[in-house]
Parts: sequence; C-alpha cells; structure tokens
Amino acid sequence: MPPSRHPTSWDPALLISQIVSMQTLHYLVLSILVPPLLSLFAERSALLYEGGAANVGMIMDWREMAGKPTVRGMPGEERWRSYYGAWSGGRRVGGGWEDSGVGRIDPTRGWVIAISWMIACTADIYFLYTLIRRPRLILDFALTLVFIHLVLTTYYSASIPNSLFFWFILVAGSAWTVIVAEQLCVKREMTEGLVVSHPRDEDEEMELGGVSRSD
Amino acid sequence: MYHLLKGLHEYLTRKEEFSVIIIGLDGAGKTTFLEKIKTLYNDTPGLEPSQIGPTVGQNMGKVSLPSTILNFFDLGGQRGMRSIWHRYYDDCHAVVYVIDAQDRERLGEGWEVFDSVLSAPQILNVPLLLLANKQDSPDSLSTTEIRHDYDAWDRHRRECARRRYGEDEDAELERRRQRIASLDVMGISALNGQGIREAVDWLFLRVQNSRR
Repeated sequence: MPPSRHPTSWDPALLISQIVSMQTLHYLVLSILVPPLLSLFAERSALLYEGGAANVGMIMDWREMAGKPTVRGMPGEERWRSYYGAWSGGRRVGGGWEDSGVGRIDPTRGWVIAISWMIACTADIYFLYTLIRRPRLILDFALTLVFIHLVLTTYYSASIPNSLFFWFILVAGSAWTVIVAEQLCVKREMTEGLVVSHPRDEDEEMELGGVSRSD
Repeated sequence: MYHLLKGLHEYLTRKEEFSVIIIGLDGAGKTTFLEKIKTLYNDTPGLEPSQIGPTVGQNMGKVSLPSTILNFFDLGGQRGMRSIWHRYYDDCHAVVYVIDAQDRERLGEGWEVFDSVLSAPQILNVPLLLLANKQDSPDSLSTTEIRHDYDAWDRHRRECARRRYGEDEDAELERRRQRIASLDVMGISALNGQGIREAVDWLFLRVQNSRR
C-alpha cells in the first residue's frame, strides 16, 4: 500500500514555493522600475550620497520612501538605538542630520519609490492571477507579501517603520492588489467553472466516488 | 502564510480514521449494535431497538475516540444484501461479524456465511471480531460454546468435503493458516450494552496496525 496521507489538500511545498515566487517577482519588478525612474526624477547629489539610484536600500529601506534620514545622528551609536540630534534634560538642544548638510531628504525620491511600489502591486495582481488562482488565497498571499517585506525592511534599516506615508502606501497597495485580483479570479471562476480534481485516498472512494473539492 | 500555518496545525492535531464493517446474518443484531455504540460514545443517542427494522443498504456511524476516529459501516444481512459485502473488503480496516447466539437453527447458515467471509483474500490481514450477540437472553450460547460449535461445524464440513472431493483441503488449510491478523470471539448484548465497550476497545487496539 502506498504511504497514505490523511485526506487533506494542504501542500506545504507548494505554498512555500508560491510565497517565495511572489516575493521574488515583486522585488524583481521593483528592481526594474526603481533605478531608472530615480535617476530620471530624483535629485542627483542626494541620490549619490546614498549610493546611487541602483542601491539596494532604495527598495529595501523604508526610510527612502518615507523621506526619513538614513544617517544616524550621533557618532558611536548602536544600530537599533539611535537618536536624531542632541538631547539634554529631556529637551532637544542640538540638531542632528538637518544641520550636517549631508544626507538631505529628497521628497521626490520618496514619491518615485511610492509610485513604483504601486506599479509593482499592480504587477502583483497579474502574478496572483496566474500563480495563485483561487480567490480564497489572494488575501492570504497579498498580506504575506507585505508581512515579509516589513520583516525584511525592519531588519535592513534596523528600525521599525514609523512613517505614516510608508504605512499608507503599503496598505493602499495591498488593498488595491487584493480587490482587483479577487475580482479577476472570481470572474474567471464564474466563466470557466471549478476544476474538480485532486488526489484522494482510496478510503474515500467508497463514499464520495471521486468528486471532490475541499476548501 | 495563514494557510500554511493552519494546515500545519491541522496536520499536527489530526486523528487517524479507520473503517470497520459490521456484517452477519439478518436479524443478528448488527444495527442494534451500531446504535448502541452511537449511544455510548456520542452525545446524540442512537435509535431505540424498537425503532430498528431490517437494513437496506448500509448504516453508518462515526465514533470519535481521543486519538482515533472509527467509521462503522453496518451492512444489511439479508440474503440479497450479502452480495455488496465484498465491495467493502478492500477498504476496511477491521471486520465485526455478529451472530445471534440464541438462534440455534440458523447457526449452520451463519457459519457458512462466516466461512465465506473468512476465506476472502482481502480479509486475511484484517482483524476480525466475532460477536455472539443476545447474551441477555437466558438460552443463548456462551463464547466457549460458540467456539465448540464452530469447530464442530468446520470439522464436519471438511470431512464431507474430503469424502466427496479427495485431498483438496490442504490448500484451504494453508490459506487459513496464512491469516496473520487477530481473530477473536466475544459475547455482547446489543440491547443492554454488555460487552460493547470491550469490543470497541478490542477494535481500537488492533486497527492501529491494520493496513492503511
């Protein structure tokens, strides 16, 4: 007798590979969009200070989109416990990055990255439509994508995102992805119908006779 | 990721499911036995014995034990129904054969049917429990008497076969000896529930190693 599995339709290998594919494709689209757009529209010297338009941080660092400084204010600080400026007696007495003259914030950069994120979310709609075909899974995969990106960007920048703009773009992007992708998938299922097939144990043949679609 | 984790949780907390078929002559008490099991093990009680009539087709019962789920298939025992029994042999994990221990006239007929079940090749490796039902009746045979009766019937049959057909019984003896799964006899009363828990425990223990 072949080794039997309890008759579930849970396939961890497929799910994990789908998660990895979605994340990779999303970053791929971003990597194609962001460098040329940044070099066209963003301020050149500020870009150069960060390492150029094709820097990984443009995608992976939330502070680039949010317009927050990526420079730590004070020398000798640890990565995760940095403060902007000089503080004394509970009051801020000295500026940090604003006064240094370098690492200026360029709002255009933030907008370019945000728009690229939205375009990547639109591309995600197509990827979800082809790879994850069922409407029930769209929300799950879209939120997983955002969650993994949050984990990665927090780790990359050593700070938890605290920019409203960044959160807003992420939420808007995933809402857009979920709504449109679900509509498309449902429309497809209405026209094409359900595909009735997945491997079942012999035990179930007695009762179900081969017709099955478990959700 | 939610579906990943949910599937993992269900996989870790799943219960094994096994199928048990209940067969025997008509009137042996199979459906009463099934309904009594349902009453004892489930929250909703099964049918009262007075409401039970001859089974057409099958009755099903699902009993959820702490680590396992047992699916009982009570198959009709009337002569016309016995032809569907063999369809279930491939997929079952245990067989329960119920005999009416107080109906001495039909005992021979019962042994014939029992023998045909025993010699089915798919059942050789499946635990088989022989239940002597209706122990609540004063003139029912006990388990030892049932054993003697079956041995006597078997010996008599083999002698008749030898006289008629010659030395062909060795092949059948070989087949009988190939049986590696358990075979046991128990006395129960489906009406008052005596012996039912022991029977289900017996099945629960032996079904774990049955074929998957």
